[in-house]
Amino acid sequence: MIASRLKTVRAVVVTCGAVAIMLIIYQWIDKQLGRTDYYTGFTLLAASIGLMTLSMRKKLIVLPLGSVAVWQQVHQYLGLFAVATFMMHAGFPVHGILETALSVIFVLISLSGSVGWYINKTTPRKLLAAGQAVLREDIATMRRSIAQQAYHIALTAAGKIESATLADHYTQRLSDFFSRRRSIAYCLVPTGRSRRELLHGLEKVSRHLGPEGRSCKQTLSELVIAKDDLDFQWAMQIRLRSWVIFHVSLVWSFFILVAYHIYLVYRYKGG
Amino acid sequence: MSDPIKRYRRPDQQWKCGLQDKGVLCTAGPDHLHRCSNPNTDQTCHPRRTLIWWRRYLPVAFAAITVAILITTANMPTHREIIAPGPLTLAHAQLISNPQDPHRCSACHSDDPSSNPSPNPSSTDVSASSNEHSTSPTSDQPISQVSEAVLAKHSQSDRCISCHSRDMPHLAIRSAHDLPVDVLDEMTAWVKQRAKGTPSTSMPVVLVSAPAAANNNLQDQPEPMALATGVDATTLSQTEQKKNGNGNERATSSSNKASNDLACSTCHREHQGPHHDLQAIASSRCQACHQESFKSFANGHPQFENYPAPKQSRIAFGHRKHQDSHFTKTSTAFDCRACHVDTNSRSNVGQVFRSLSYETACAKCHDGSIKSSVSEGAIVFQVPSIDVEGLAKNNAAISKSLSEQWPEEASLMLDGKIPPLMQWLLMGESEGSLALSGLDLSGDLSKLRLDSQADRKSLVSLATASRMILEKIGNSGQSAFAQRFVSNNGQSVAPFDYGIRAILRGAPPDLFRTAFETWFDSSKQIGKQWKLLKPGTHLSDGGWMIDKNRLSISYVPTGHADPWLASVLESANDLLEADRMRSDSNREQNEIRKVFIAKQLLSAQGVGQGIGRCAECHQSIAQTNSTVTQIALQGQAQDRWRSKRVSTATRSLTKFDHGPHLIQPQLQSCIACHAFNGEQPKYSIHSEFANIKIEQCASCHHPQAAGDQCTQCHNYHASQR
Amino acid sequence: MAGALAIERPKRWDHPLDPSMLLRDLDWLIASEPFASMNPDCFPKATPLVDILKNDARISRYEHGDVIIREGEYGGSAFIVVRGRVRTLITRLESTSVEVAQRERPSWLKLLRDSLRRFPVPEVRHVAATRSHKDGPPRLVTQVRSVDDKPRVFLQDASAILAGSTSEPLGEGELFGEMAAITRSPSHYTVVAEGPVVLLEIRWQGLRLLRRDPEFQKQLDHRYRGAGLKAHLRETLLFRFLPAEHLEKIAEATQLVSYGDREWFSEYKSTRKLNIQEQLRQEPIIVEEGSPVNDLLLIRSGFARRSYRLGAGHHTIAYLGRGEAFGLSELIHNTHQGINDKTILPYQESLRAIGFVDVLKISRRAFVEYAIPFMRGSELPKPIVTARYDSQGPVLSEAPPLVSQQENVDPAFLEFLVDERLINGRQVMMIDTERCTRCDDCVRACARVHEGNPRFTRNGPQFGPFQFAHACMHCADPVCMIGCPTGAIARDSDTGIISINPDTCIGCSVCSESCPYENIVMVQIHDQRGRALVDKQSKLPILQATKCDLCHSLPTGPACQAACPHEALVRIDASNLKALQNWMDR
Repeated sequence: MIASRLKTVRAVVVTCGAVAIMLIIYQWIDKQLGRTDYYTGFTLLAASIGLMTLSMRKKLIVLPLGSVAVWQQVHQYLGLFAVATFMMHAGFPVHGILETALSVIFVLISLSGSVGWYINKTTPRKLLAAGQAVLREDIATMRRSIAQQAYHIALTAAGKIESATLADHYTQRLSDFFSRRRSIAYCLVPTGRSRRELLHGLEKVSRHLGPEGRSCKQTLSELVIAKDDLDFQWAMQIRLRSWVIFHVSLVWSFFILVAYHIYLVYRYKGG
Repeated sequence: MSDPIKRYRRPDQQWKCGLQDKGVLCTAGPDHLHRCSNPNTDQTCHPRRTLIWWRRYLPVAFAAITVAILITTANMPTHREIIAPGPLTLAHAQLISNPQDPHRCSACHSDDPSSNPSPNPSSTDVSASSNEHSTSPTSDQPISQVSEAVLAKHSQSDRCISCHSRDMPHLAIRSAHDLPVDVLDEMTAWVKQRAKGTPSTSMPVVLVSAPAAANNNLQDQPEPMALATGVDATTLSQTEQKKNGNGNERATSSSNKASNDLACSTCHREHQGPHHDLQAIASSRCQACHQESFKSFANGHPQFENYPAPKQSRIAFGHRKHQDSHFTKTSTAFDCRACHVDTNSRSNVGQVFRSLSYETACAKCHDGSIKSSVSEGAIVFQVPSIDVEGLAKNNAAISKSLSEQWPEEASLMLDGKIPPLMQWLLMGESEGSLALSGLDLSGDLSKLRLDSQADRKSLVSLATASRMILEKIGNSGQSAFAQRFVSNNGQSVAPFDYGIRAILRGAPPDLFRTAFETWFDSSKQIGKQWKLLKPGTHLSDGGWMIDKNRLSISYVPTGHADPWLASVLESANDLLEADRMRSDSNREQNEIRKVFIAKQLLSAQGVGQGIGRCAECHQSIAQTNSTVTQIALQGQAQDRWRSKRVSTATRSLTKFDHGPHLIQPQLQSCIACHAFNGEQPKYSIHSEFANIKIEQCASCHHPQAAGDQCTQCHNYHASQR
Repeated sequence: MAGALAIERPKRWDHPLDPSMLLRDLDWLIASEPFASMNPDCFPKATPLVDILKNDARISRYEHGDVIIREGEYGGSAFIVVRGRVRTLITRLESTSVEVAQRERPSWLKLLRDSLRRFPVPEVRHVAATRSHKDGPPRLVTQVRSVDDKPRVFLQDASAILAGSTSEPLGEGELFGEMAAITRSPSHYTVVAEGPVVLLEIRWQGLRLLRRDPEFQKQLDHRYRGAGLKAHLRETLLFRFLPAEHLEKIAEATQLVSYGDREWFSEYKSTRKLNIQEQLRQEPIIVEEGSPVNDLLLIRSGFARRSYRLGAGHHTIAYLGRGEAFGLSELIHNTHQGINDKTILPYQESLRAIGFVDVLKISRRAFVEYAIPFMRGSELPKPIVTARYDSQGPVLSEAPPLVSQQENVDPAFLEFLVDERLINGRQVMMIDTERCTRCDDCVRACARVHEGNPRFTRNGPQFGPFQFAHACMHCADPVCMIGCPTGAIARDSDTGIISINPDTCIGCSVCSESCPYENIVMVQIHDQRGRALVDKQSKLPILQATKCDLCHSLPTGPACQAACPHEALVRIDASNLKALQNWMDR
């Protein structure tokens, strides 16, 4: 724990140092009446290319270039550095339609990067709280088996007078919950609301039940919890992956615009 | 809850079983062509894309969309709007008003592909005159096909200058401070010398005459200016030394190329939005060259030397003397603002007049004395007092008519001096010149001897000439006299001509005829019965008169700024100047006399009693050896009477505006800054005021208050408009 | 289904150990000892003695000084001296003189190309290769290939070494190397040829079959108990200062006892589903707590559970692996107390066999007499202060629970490791789910370096946040190797990495069934055009066993570990608790 914190501190210090050196050189160039925008621009380009190498590294896993974890760390802090450089380069506000588009894409990518950083850090703990790790590919199967179990319990309950209300409750409230996937909104913000509602509903039904019905109800409650946990895991995993897709989706657009931007800068270079 | 079937999951696959999300377990999965590979027809599905598929193709799709958008916009009329890095400032945007003009960018960007191959006609002369260090080639042409000259004309800075040449002097627009490199070198050398502690003289004053001056309205023509004074360049650093240290060639003033290659865009960045201040320059940028480091204006800025620099006034005015004696005598309060402040007009130092008109400031006190000093008038013509009897006795060949008609009042004895103006008139005549040759320079008749043959001859000539002057002018007017004078033996008499014209300006021929008839035509007894008139009372507002008492024709000046007197003195001044500039020393008698007369005219005893007092205040008219006069030569004649005007269009390296300062209550009293120095007051071009110290400014000029940006007090583009 | 290509199903003995074995040699072998005295009726009809010898044995020649078995090497074969003499070196050889044949590595270009390529078809096999014999013998055998021109490791100055070191000669008819072959453990000794030698090499699959003969079985057991005992004792940390003669005495007083079933894994799958206390009851008890201390126990191979009764159940303190001792503190305690019935303590804890365990029992008397005087005081355990049991039986007052003596590991974690038999794993894939974002980069990286096929599943038993994924653990006791009829699954003698040779795997699923951890997956194979390969006769798909090969051909080590962007995945030796703990605490 301490070691990893130390590593973080070291990385932050190195990043701040790099930004500071960047600033010093920036001011030096500015003092020479030099073109600081060229300097920050090309630094930003280099940083962007450096950021992109992470996915290259993941593809070329056979090369002995250090673990991806190290690359990931470098990627994160290089990202911070790139954001600082971007602020030096573009300033605020940004003028021009092309430049604005470029900035918006950069901001989107870096924002999604920061969000990703955050959810990468927090999601594992949340997932862990939702029980054993399960594979996303298996969740549907598991969900189906839970739904079947629930159906069988409801069927059993329906056969008995004392627990018929439970079966009714199942058809009215639960069957849909067990058979359905969750909405996109749930994927974005997974909440325990429907779980609480359903459990509460079951609790209310239980006063009409006999001892057998109660045990059926108990099992159903457990299944509700199990299904909800699965849904939660599914939603979290989908969210994580979708984030990565969003983060990388604009990268090529960004580089195309960057190339065009550089072309324009040189074409209309003042003198 | 683990999967009952032992199998690998394949998260790297782009297609997955269509039943997977339904929870149906199918181990077959899609084949390599994304088809369901399950042979059991009950379980066939439509394989679906996985997130990995999206991960792979979404960036490609976005990239394709981006390229498509770029290609689409490239053909749109608003293409230029899209690729512009930002809107132009209002001023530029108004000039280049049509956003859809395909040549819009080429107005400024030399390398715009749509740029007109021939540059803006108005920029031709400018670019030709500016410099040959130009930048990039046009991008649509291979560099080999473009000659250097064409490239130079296309440079972006040249295009800036092509429009801004009207208000930019472009003396050396692409070098630092628009100053020629040698000037910069000189200034740098001076600063370095001062830094070494060598007692310096003063900052080299650089005189630059603007070539564009001739085209401008003469009335607005400002004086040629000193571009740099001691104060202006105090912060210039030892660029030479620093340059060696950091290898920055841009700061080198010794390297022509480097210092001549400053693009406008180095400081002025366009496309920052309509309200961007293109002129706002951070102080740090000044330090690119001025590297003598100091923390701030208050802390380390070199002390002002001799600031404000004493302006070389043409009017001798002693503030101290006025306060101490003149105002005290009249018990008037000495208030600077009574004369100097005018909230309605601006000068280049704000709402403050540096100098005032005579009418405003001086007339109240000085009108009376000036009037009385000229009340006697200046004698233009006087009948010389010749002892006609004596002359006849000595057998001079004086004509009988002359001796008969010579006025009695002037024939008693050989006495008096010929007034200078009359001498001048005489010299316009061959007969008169002959007469004068026998006289000494002061024209004293009493020194002539009647027993001398030559003197008698001179006297005869004098009498003849005097008579003739009156007759000619009286009969044929001024022009006749002037014509006669011009055709005199083809002799070169240019300034003299000017002098004669000055004397005769406004002289009425009728007056001359009357005088002639009065004194010489005995057949007409005109004026014998006239009352004897005195110039002071007779002509209280000035004018020409016949002085019966002095047998003269006089001009009584109107008072201050009398045009006749002014032109006479100016011509005298011109004469002296022309003479001073003559290189050969052997002058003929006539020439010597002319100079003598001019000097006499300008001296206090000159034209007439007290008339010479002009030079008491108008020092420039009396001094012939000063730079001021030299400068004056190049200007209009009238300007030498006026105090020196500093044009608002002139830009030195420093600037100061009184306006915002006068708002401060503690600064409303001028003496808060402009205190008298301890020296004896004198009418001189030297300042009576103590130098302003940097501390006085720094008390307000710090970042928390009035600010201490370099550009608040310093101009970068230092020269004249 | 994208069509199917019918081929001949691979069979057992498709790849004999020595395809060129002559019938004449075989006849001669059958006629000579020990095979001559074997009873042919003991062998099933499917695998008669002749076929065993034909397919699982070969005759090899060795020159003087050739190294036949190297110490520490994972052997796959037993040897019978046919002619000549070999020597077993007891003293350790400097391993530097022993060169290891270089494993072939794929070229960089291929690796790079493969990592950028996409493999739309899973599990592609080159049809020709599955049937080819030309590709050479399987890797395991490469080391001891009997072709004469094959370079063979030999001792440069064999005579001097043999003279200068303690060695035991083995003559004609004698068997050696069988212990390493059967226990899937590294060899304890080096065997060198003395003069020209002819050996009969029997791979362990064959050896297993031969054990059906009772006489041979008896002989094997005898040798198994005797061979290497002293070497093992000497290796034991406790005895390293003992003079040789004392060691001799101790060896004489030592008894080797085996507990549990040697093929424990077949039982394991059913027992692991029981709850922990039930499982414990199933484990053969070696020492019961409260019984008098008569022996010092040393684990020779396998693993044993140390526990004590707590409430209604048992509390595991630790598990003991190879070379660890049990009962030492009681013995030392009793020695210091003298012989007073009141103060003499019985065993304070129980010892149970996990799977199959070999235990050396050293009698108390010999240990006290010969060993204790030569043991360092600092290394001896402290006298027991609060005993759980005394001579009267259980001490009533509840003793404070002992802290687990192994590196402060959470006892629950320890139990988990033991119950899941993860202690067997030398390269366990451990995932910290507190960091793992389930990004599957590890699986994808694995697939990338295995032609698009992942070789593990990212789920498995989980303890708290720590998940032990279904990836081959390259076990200390690789039970998967036991059933393999062709030797396709083999252990690399240098690295201990167990890999499956796809050329010789016949898809019989024995290894997959044997693996207690479900880490070997049978996959359906395809040709490059995506057609599933099916058996010519039955038209059933042909399967092959696949599992993690620890990326042994890559310079980077396991791709899964290198690819994890969150440092959540590690390949780790589960028996090294210290390393485990360090990683968990990081």
